[in-house]
Amino acid sequence: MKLSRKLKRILPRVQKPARYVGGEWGSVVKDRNEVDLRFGMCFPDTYEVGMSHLGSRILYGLLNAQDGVWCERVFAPWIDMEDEMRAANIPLYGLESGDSISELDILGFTLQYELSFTNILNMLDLGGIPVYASERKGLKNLVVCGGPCAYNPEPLAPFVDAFQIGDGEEVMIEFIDLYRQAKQEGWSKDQFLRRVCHIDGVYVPSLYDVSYNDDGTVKAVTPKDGAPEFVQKRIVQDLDNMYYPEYFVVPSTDIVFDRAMVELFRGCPRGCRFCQAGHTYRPLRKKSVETLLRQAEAVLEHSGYEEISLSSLSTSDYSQLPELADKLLDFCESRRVSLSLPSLRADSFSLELMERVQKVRKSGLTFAAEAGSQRLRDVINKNLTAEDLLNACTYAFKGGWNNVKLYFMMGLPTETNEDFDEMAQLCRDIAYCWKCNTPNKARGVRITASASCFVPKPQTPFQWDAQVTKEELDEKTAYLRTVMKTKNVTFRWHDSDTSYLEAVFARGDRRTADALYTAWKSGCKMDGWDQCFDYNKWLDAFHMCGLDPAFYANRQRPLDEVFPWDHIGCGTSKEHLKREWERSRRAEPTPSCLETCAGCGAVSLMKGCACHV
Amino acid sequence: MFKARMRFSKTDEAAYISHLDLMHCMQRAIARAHLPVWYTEGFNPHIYISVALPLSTGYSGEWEFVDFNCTADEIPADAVQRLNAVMPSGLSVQEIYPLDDGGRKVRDIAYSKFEITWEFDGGVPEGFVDAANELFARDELKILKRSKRGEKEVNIRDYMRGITLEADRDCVRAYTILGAGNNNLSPEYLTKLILRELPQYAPDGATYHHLMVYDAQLNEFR
Ligand code: SF4
Repeated sequence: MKLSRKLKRILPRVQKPARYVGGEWGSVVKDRNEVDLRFGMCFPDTYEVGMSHLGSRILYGLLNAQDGVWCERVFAPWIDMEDEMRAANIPLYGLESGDSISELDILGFTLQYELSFTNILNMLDLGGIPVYASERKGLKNLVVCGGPCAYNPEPLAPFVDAFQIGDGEEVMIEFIDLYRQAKQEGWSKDQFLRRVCHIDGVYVPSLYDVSYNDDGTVKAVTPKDGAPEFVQKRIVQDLDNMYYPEYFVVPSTDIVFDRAMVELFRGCPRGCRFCQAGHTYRPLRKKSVETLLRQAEAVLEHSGYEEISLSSLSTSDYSQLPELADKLLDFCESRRVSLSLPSLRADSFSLELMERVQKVRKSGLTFAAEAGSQRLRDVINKNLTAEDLLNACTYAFKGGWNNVKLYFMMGLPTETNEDFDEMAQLCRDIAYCWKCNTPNKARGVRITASASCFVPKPQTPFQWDAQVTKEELDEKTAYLRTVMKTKNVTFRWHDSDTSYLEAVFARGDRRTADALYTAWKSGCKMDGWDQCFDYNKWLDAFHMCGLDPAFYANRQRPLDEVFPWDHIGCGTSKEHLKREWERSRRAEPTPSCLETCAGCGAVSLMKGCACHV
Repeated sequence: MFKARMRFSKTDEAAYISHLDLMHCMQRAIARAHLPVWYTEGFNPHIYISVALPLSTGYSGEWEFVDFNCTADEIPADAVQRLNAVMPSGLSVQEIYPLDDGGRKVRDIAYSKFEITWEFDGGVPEGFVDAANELFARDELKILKRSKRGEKEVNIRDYMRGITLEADRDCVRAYTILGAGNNNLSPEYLTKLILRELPQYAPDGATYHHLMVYDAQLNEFR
């Protein structure tokens, strides 16, 4: 982009200015006079976080591959930059053109986590665009959102013109085609919204009325103007033939995940009951080894990246992983590219593979155990036994690893102190396992157990469950600290305030939008960043809006409650989620889809095809 | 295998790429261009490069160097073209040449030439150029110079080898040769001096562009 004198003047004063100038290898610059649709791919967090997001990279490539469409990237400036921009009267701009985002036709925001919601309002405001959809009268500056949080779009309903639910690749193209027609034929915004709501997977919140019961729960969500009653998510059925970018924008400054990525499959066969992704990315669809190799090669060739990672919710479940890994490793070694494999399971094949891949970093081995006892792991359907863990650790310690990280959650449904006792025992067993198996006792071992607070998410079997209160959580943490006292085991826990806020907005209704607006007005932004998060401002905001955050976070919801998101489909049926909730109370696990289909209903979204990874 | 040097410019957007990030950018560009370069050995092999006299983040420059090891018999004839086809915006290679006998050592660099632009949004104030010329002609221009070893009072004139000013409509450009390497003087001290001595003419902004480097005898370094 062309840098103005004004901008050049403030850049030397802000941290990491390279993230505000664009011009990276792979960024797409088109002639603004030769396109008829300008799209802002907005990520409501910093450049470093947003640039690491694979989904945005895919859509960026896809949109720019369309003739006449120019897609730019827009990120939230860090607070120092925001202050300078506001002082110098520089509106938020797209990194490709440097033009204000108010000049763009569509602003598409990615919703990755609830704590980024205030940044959406802030970014619009920084671009001089009204935050409320009702105040944006024209077709221009249409605000569209997609991503995981769109499975409960209601807290954002008054700000957003339309949501795209599910896989974006196909619905995005249909959406922009209609928009281009609207623009050409001079439709009003209303006309467009009333048409676009008939594209499968598009939800236009202004076309739905919500009524409430006296107790504050939702009574009904009623569509108007012919909008569909239920908006089922979209899926891309054939990943092999789906668009995948052959190029990545290669940042000129460090970002969180600075590497090439290929996506193995969508969906997860495991069905952990707390996991939203596990229930909203179904049915299971995979890419073939040939496709993956071709795409990996193309991306590496074009980007010059020195690392590539395989992306999926559960890499070990990719049925041809051995074949893929062999071929990919050959290719990577010859090019001096390293391969990283996140989301591996604790089985011996995965460990052997990890050892082949990460010859150097023998330090970090991570296991998401999630719960301390077998009973509780059965409740949450985490298919992992203490035996699996110890076997994996035995193998790893024998091989010289000496750093194990264990992730747990606190505040899971049905949890008691006994589960924590067993968590402590598990850590002791692992420490003992190291003692018995390490070839080198002198080097010592580091076992870290981290506990985060469970946040019940919509569209999961635990969507009915209460989050434990702050007081209960404090008690739990205090208890855990007394039992987690093994030598070599470090216990870490997360602060609960952000999890509380996350829980409110995860299952919030339209009324929580008021609190969001009020909190933003009082200065809340970048809430996912410790140095910015201001809990008291948030509590004040709820209070000022007459809302009780505990109503959303800490209430056990009856099985027959109408949820604010019941009219949004995630593929998995509500009946299945309910069944899973009931099984969880009996501590009954559900087998993985690789063994038997649990009948979640998602496969009905595929035409003449079954789930497979 | 032999040592090679790449001379490049770093302008516009690329001016904001920090030193460490510049290394990554160059390594990735070299990988994209498939140049025959030497990688470090070991578990995490990477392209070995070294950047001479890194520019401060925010400065642009057109006489910058990266050294690397070439593993072919000679540098491919189209190496410059291949690299420039895959560079981020604002980075551009001018030449690549072998360093026979190790070439000129980076530590021989003694001076840098800068173009400083003092911006005046309302037009250059009358009298500024004369006042600035008079200021820089003084024999003694004491400033507090910061270095790794702390602050020290020095005379700027000991670090300067001439300065000429050129007035434009809304800016004044100063061309000056300043100490580099061990005897480094940041051009920002000249701006600071104006703010201190000629506050009535305080410019609205200042930018710095690195034009050339020299050895102690003021021969162009390459
Ligand atoms: S339809 Fe069956 S196999 Fe497919 S994701 Fe759902 S439960 Fe698993």
